[in-house]
Amino acid sequence: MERLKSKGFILFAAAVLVVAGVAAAVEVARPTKAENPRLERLLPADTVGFVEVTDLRAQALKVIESEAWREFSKENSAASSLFMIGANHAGTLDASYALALLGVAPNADGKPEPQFVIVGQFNDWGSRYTFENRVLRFVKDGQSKGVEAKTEEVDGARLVTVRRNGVQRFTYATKDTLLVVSNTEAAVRRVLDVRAQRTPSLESNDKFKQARAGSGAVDGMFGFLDGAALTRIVDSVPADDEAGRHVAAFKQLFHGLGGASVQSAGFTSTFEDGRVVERFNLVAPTKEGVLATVASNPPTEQKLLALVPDTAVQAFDASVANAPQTFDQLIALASQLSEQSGKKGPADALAEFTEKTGVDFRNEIVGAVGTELCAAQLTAAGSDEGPSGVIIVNLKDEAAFAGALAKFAEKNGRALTEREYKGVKVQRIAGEKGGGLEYAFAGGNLVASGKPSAVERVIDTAQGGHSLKESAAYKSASAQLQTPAQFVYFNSNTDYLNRLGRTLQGGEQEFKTEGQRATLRPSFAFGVAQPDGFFVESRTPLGTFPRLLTTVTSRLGGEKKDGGAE
Amino acid sequence: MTKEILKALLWKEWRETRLKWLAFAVAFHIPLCIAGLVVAFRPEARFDLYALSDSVVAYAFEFALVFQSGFLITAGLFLLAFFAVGSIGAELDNQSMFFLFERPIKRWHLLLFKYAVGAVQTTTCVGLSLLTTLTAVYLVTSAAATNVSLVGAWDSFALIVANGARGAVWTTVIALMVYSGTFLFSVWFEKWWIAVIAGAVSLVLMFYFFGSNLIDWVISKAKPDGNEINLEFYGRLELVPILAMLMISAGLYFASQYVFARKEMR
Repeated sequence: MERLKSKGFILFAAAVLVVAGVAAAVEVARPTKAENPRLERLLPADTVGFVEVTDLRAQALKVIESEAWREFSKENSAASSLFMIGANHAGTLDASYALALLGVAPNADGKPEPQFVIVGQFNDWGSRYTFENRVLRFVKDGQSKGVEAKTEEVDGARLVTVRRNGVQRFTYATKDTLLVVSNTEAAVRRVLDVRAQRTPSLESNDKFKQARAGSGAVDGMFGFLDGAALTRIVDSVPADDEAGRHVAAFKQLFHGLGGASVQSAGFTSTFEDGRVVERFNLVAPTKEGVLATVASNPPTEQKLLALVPDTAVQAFDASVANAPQTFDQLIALASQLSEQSGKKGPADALAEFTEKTGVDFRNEIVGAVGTELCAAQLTAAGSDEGPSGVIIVNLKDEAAFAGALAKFAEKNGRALTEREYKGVKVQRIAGEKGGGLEYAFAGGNLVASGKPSAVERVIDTAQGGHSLKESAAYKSASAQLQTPAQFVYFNSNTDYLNRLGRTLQGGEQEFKTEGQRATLRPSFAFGVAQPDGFFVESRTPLGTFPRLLTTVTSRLGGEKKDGGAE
Repeated sequence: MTKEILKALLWKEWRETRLKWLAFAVAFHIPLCIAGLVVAFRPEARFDLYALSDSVVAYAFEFALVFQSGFLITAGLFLLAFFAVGSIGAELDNQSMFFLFERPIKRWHLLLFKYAVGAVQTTTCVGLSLLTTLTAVYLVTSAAATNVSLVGAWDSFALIVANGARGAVWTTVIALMVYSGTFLFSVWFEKWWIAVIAGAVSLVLMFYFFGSNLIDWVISKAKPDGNEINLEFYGRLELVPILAMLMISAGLYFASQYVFARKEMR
């Protein structure tokens, strides 16, 4: 009997344990509201653009697990942990956020005012309350003089309009786990209308659906811009008064750059393989203006990267075959704007340049540029030699370009000296304060730098030295690039951790900003022109997230030092 | 008392108490179970665990040490009393004790043996629970936190364990005293629930008069300003109170022998 009783107890205990285990597993596996926010459901269908950050805590966890943060933690072990723990308790990580531009509407004075809105979807009521209490606390405790808050209920949500000294500062609405903050009351009401299903949501916008489906990412960051809506806003802003002249100029610039031909733009940021992949997709099947000229550039052959030493810190290589046409378009655009404003135009500035220097900038400089341009940083700021960079430009006519530079030196009374390095003539145009421009020509390309050693290193590479293009690091980083690109960017990330330390500085924790040498994989980015637009992809250690996290935690979640608003 | 009888008694005690002892050992890790539940259900706690690194993992160990010590010298003593109260009273109540009286063994030997086995079980459990808790925290943080490794956290762990050994001495001595007191009640009262009430009342009185001393000896000195933990002052060994508690334990044991020798059992 006793044994049976004992067994019954054990069975009961086992059953309780199993139930508790299943409940725990369900609780852990169940996505929270912040993990699956779909904030587009709360934004109007005609929203101009929005950026959503999904579940900040999950993002912060991915940062902790990233390659860069692991390396950073080795150098800043205590500070990195305490920074993250501090962020965790700042009360801002339990949510997904979206920042949106809903449109432009006249304000109380009749002037057009953009309607920005921040939507926060929190995991639970407590998280939202913590955020509200920290970020909007001065409304609550009334410590700021002249602050008044008008509260009303709309569809069960508490709508609070905050005025300070009679001027509306912002409006916010709260309902359960949702918080909506905006610079205008109308914007909050528009969101509440969508929430109450009185107006359609952005989710029903076809362009948005297309962008969302094409993003392929559900975590991290997602951004969307409705080009047609943006064009409508730009075109609808009245330009009939004094301030309207600037608006008219902006409209002209917008259309001249080809902004009106952009149908939509999408941006995603997600973690893959311990680092951040960011993708930007511009949809513009009927490209216009400068955008059309830039997009019609032929892809870069990346020939100039063969002149960059393999030890370069970073390098940017782009196709500039259409540089003269782009230059002409920009000058034409600038001329139109200057005519309207009655100020000096670019033609005058170019004429002045020619008179002063003796060089025809359009024909002898821009016109001589060939198909490719490369800018490279050869040594880091913290290195023994100090920072140094070099610009390499492919030329159509080397002699003409050399002549232009010589003419410039002669006309301006600058000393032009010449030396030889490994059989290559290296010339120097003396600067005004001891500096100067060191340049040489290698294989029909201009190599120019402020530092002689930088030009010499490029010459070394041109004469058989190890180049970046042939390095294993570059090949590995650029392996993702399957199609010809308009531009490529490479960063060895040798200084990344120091830069990260500088980014995170300013809070309670002290981070190393010098002397950190990490073995991070290089960053790589490229841009590809496509028939229906433009596509840019980058793979970097942490993307834009550290800065965002720092902003959110230190500015929004920071403790109040004294009374009043922060 | 022959070696065979000694072995037989040992086996009997072990067999009778092993499950109870196991349950007791598990119960003494309740703080660890609570921590596990908090980590499982609270995303903030999970995040803190993941965010730890080798440099700051010592804070987690310190917290575990102080929390477990606090548990041992408060709620843990009630658990201990509950365990000890069944040492004699239950066997008197169900009359299985009379079976032992039929063996060639003196009555005081029997009580000594029961006291010794129970005391070793309880004090071992109490003393070791500090170290097992710390070890569990060390292993879990190493496994869960991205920037905590077994090797990297070893120094912090070893330092905390070395300091925690002083806490183990204190909690063991306190546990022995409480065990001895409850053992006396177990001998005194045949009904186990009367002994439980007596033990609980005694503990409450002990906390009322000496509770602040217990907390002071083990924990308070390690937290002079109430927040930061200074391990140097954790569980500083003081000879007088430790000897006093050992003497009280001995006195309670002899009192148990006295009561048992003169107890009328039917």
